[in-house]
Amino acid sequence: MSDLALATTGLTKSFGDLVAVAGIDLHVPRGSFYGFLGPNGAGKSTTIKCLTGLLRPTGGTYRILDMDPLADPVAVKRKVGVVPEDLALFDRLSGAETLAFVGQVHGLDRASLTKRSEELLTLMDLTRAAGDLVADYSHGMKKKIALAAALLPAPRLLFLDEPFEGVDAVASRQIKDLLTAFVRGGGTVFLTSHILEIVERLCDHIGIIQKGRMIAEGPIDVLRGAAGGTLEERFLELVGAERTQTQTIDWLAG
Amino acid sequence: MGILRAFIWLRWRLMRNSLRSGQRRDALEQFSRGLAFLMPAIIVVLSAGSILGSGLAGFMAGLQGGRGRESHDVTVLAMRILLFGAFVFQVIFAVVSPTQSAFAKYTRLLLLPIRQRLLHLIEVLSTLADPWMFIVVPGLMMFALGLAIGGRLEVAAIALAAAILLLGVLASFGSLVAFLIGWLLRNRRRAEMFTLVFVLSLSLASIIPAAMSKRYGKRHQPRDPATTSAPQSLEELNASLPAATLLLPSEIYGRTIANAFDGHYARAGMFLLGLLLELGVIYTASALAHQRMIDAVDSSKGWTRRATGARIGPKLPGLTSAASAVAFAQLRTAIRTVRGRTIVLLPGPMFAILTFFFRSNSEERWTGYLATNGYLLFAVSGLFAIYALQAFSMNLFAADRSGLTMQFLAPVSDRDLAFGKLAGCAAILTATLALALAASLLVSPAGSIALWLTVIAGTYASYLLISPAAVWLSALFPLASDLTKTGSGGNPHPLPMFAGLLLTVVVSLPTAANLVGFGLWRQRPVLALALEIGWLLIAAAVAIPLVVVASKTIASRRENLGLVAQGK
Repeated sequence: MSDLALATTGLTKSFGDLVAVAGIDLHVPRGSFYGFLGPNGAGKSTTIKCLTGLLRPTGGTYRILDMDPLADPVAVKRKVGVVPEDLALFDRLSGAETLAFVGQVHGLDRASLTKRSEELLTLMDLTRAAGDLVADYSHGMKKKIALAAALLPAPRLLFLDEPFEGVDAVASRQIKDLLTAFVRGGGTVFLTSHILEIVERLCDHIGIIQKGRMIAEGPIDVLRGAAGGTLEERFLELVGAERTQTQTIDWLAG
Repeated sequence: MGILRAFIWLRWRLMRNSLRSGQRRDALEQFSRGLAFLMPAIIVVLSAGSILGSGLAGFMAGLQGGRGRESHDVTVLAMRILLFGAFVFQVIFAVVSPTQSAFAKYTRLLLLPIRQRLLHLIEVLSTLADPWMFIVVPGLMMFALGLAIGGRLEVAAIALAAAILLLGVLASFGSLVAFLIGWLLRNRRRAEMFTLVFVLSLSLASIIPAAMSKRYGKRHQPRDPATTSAPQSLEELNASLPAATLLLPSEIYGRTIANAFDGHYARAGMFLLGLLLELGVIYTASALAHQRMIDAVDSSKGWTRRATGARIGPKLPGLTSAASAVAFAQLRTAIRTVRGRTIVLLPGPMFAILTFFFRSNSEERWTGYLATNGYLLFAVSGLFAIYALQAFSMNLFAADRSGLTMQFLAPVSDRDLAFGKLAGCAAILTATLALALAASLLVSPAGSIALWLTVIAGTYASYLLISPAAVWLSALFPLASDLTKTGSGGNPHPLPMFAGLLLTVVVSLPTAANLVGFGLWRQRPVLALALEIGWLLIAAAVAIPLVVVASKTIASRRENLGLVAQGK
């Protein structure tokens, strides 16, 4: 068994002339909390979509939990949980029915489904809303039910695309605690987020992508450097953000 | 003017950009979008003829009226009727395509520095761009021009003023209805209930006049023409109309023109004033409704349900656990949409009403057959049910929108996905047939049980035979339809819809032949049932391997299906 939960070599995805992901190499150790960072439009979501089978890569190879997702996608999906960018929920199913659907697809028996879904709904504070249609949920509630659906089959690898975006402080705390416990139990989390403070606090490994290319990857302490700066400073330095640009717009000063 | 220009530009760009192909779409997807565009293009081409025809008819009517060669009574009456039709269309369109879907864009507009009064005016003016207004406007304008060329300049001037006021009233009234509906629909659950009731009422109401007219015609045939007193002149017709019809804009317009023709300019002026007053009242009411709609608190929250735990559905016979889960998701999500509920609820009651009227009008040979052999009308309702199911069956994947991504992320094979979807649609069909059967047995229980069973077997045989094409066409021509809405927004791609319609007819022919041949003609119901069961088995033997083959298409189309389902 490999030490890596996820490994890619030269992963590429093009849409016509547009190269969204330009041959990236990812190395995500098992049991790690991996933060996948990059500016808007860098290719983070496209990478996740390729890795989870929503998009077909145009080049490169990749293995997930020692399996080839292109050869046996169903087997990989049994071991992987995903919270995609658009959450991918049926609007017209209730929260409980969403979990029932996922449980049945994963072949859970009735007792396991009942136990797991009750625990997840309680943990996510969704018990009272379990019978409401997902269409009636707030954005934060949708995030939580999507995460509960991803966790229900007890995956070994979780892909989370912006899990903390649009989520209030209480829900954010609940999600963080849940994910920390998941990693402590041997699971691997691969997440994208723009909130660098959260990434810095949760993640032990970081990968940074810009314009479809990996520009840095490794343990967070190594990336921050010996000087011990913040992740934000290092990130801005790596992506080459022009901090002084606003000062040149005279008319904004009034 | 700058703002008006910006709005015209915005509408133009939105229309143009909707036809652009994105970088993420493959060649087949672009072809599919091109085909979807073909239908509206045909409508535009057909409308061009109507627009020209309307203008020409208006001009000729004005010219003849101006030269005084023919009595203007017929012209004015025709215009009153046509304009009343336009008025009714305007109201129906305002109800069926309300501002609900446009409200997201509206929020953006409200954030801009535009006065609400101006925004309202723009909304009212945009109503003039509705399709039938394109037909009405040239007719009215060319009528005035014809009158002027014909030598009746005063009448032409009055006709022009009346036309402008009439268009203002039509636009304001259409906007008023749309804003009121928009306000009503700010609550999702209330909106869905309203749409469902509206669609069912409209569909059922539409068949009643046809049936009633037959009964009316028969009952009134023996009456002595001398005793009946149909209006013989325009004056008599006007006098026979209820007083309230005078408030109709088409009526005020007609009276204005008629008085102007007769040289009663003062009376024509009074009617013109009446039209102006009506415009003022309706425009103000429309502005208030617009304000109300904007101020209404948006509520997408439905009624609170009893909290229920996650309950796994049973594993369906012959299907895997994953396929069963897909089937249940398909059934649950379908019956919670307006379109799904309409499919289940409409054929039964519609069939019952039809049967009821056919039975009470059984002097005619063919209606008598249908009324005394209820299974035949049940067969028609089964055919209708398969056709209505196309909103789901011919768009198996993209109709799920975001839910499709969930299924793609789950460990569901393409084969299970296809069979699960088809089983879900079969469950919807079963619910529809059960209601249709109950309704038909209620109003016309006649006929051998074997023949009723023959109809059931035949309906499922037809559905099975369509299934491979449904999977294949749904994978090739997906469309992110919105099943919570009625109208074309909930339809599948035009090509699968058209192909589905043809296929439904073709695959139902053997069942129809069996019912007519062995049911009606040879009177061998048991033999008909035996043959139909044989046909059902053959259909299953043919369809199941073909569905397996068709499901292989999904693999190569997954990426595009996912993108289309998300509306990208």
